[in-house]
Amino acid sequence: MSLEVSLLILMGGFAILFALGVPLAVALLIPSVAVILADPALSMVVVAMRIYSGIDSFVLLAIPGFMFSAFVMNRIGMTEDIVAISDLLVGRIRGGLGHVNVVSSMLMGGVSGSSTADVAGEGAIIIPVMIEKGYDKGFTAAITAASSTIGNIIPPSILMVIYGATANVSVGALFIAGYIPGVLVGLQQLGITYYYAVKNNIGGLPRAWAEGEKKRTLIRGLAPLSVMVVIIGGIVFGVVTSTEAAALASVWVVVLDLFVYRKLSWKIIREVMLETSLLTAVVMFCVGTATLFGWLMAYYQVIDVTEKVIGYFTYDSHVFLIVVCVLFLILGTFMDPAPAMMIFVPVLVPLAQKLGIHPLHLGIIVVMTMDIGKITPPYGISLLMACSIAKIPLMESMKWTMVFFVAFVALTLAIVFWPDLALFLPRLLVPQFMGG
Amino acid sequence: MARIADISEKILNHLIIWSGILLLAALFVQVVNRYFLAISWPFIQMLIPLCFVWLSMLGSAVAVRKKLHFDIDLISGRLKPKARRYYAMAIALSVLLGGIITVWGGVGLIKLGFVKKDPSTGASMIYAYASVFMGGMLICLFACEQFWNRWTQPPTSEGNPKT
Repeated sequence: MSLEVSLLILMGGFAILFALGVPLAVALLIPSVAVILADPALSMVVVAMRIYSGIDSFVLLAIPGFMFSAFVMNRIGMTEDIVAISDLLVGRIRGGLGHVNVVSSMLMGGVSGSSTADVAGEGAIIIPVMIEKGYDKGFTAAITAASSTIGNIIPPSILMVIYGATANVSVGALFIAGYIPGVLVGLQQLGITYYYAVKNNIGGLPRAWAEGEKKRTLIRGLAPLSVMVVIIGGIVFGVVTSTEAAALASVWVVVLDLFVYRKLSWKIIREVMLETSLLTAVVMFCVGTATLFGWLMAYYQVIDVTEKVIGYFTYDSHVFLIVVCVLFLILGTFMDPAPAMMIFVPVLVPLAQKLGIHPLHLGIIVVMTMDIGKITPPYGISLLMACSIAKIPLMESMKWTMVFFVAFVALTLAIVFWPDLALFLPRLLVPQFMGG
Repeated sequence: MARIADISEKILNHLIIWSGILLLAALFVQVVNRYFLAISWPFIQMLIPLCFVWLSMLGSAVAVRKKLHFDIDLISGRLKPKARRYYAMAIALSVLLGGIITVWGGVGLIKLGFVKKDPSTGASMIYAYASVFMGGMLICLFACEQFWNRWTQPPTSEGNPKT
């Protein structure tokens, strides 16, 4: 079969089926099989072989570990501790609850690795309080959705694990590269919140801390901080891999519950494990079918074609990265990040390297744009969840969502033009993974 | 049909939970072994991917029943109840087709599993490779149930069958 026909069946078939509402994994599988059946050189065993090899990845084993620890943290009340310590840190500033929302997400991002877990856990706590204190519902939903995305940039990050596995780069180095961009996104959102507070004359939280309460809050804050130390400390100092860090974190949160929180029961562990496993399975089945799809793209030398097409338009690394931003922004709005990365990252990494772009730089750009997709209407999952918790239609949050969206895009473009914002820390801390 | 699916889901839920627990426990033991005891147990190295692939394949089948798989719904909201019912039946059929493809490919993988052995333990790879076939079978079961539900039950005012 010719390259053009197979490409048309693969890409066209996938786009049509997915737009028709067929589940993503199946929409990837059906056109792949159509191409395999039409090509006498390929056999059906390739289907199962590729699905299996896509799932059987040591790096991706980190996903259930990070998800489990995030869900356990939500259940045992560690999220409340994170909110409390954020309140202690920034609650007094004008627009205090908005700042608490952002800082909680930054701290939560440092331990959970999932923006969805952040909206579900922290959003459920802070959104009702913000609305009760007179914050605009649209702003509340928008800031919660926007700040939750920090969880995917500040390590640990499930998206970075998937990128690392796909692009064959060190997940630890990616984690380190995420720190400065993550903190910048947080600072930007704190700035927007301050502007909102000034504009709407909202003050800080005039909270009178009881004797010893600050100390107690700080001490309880050590528990979530310890999870961060286990994960990041272990990876940065090269003691454990990201997968092992995820396993350690999931055991560590259970140990913390045994000695500090004492809320876990066997029933809760079973519920959390089922939730974790089902979400992991959905992602992994997509990863499996996307691996097959991506393998076929490589088999038909789509990388060469893409290189020619992109080369026709540009040999400029900045223009290339902007094209990547637009591509992943669209994909991030409509698709789950895992299959989107499994399909496109193997195509883009060799092209990026030919243009002199470091894979870590590309990784941060991809993760950030996929993250923006999560707050892009009408299908951004974090935005939909935040609106659902705030009990408002999507349109009501649109104004402030667009403010956060534009700011996020501007920051991503800044990282496109100044790679050092992402690469400075990895060069400093893990030069062995930077090459050259 | 519903009874078979209910029983299957209950059993699968147990298997998935235990696969998840075993997976995390095995990973933790591997870390402890490597850094504190300086030993390596080959069966743990086989157990980890085994749990992960079974968890993924069985979980993706249960996710069909719970409608957890990622999709976008651009069309059904615009359809009339009767058309929406046919649309849902078509989607269930597409998932069934996905299941059949997985089973079809899985048969070839099972044949391969009989001859391949795990390099660290020497155990047959059939234990891991069978997961794709089983996952496909269960996806077919739950897709059939969804199709059957829409076929037999009249549409409600929203156009979706009662579940």
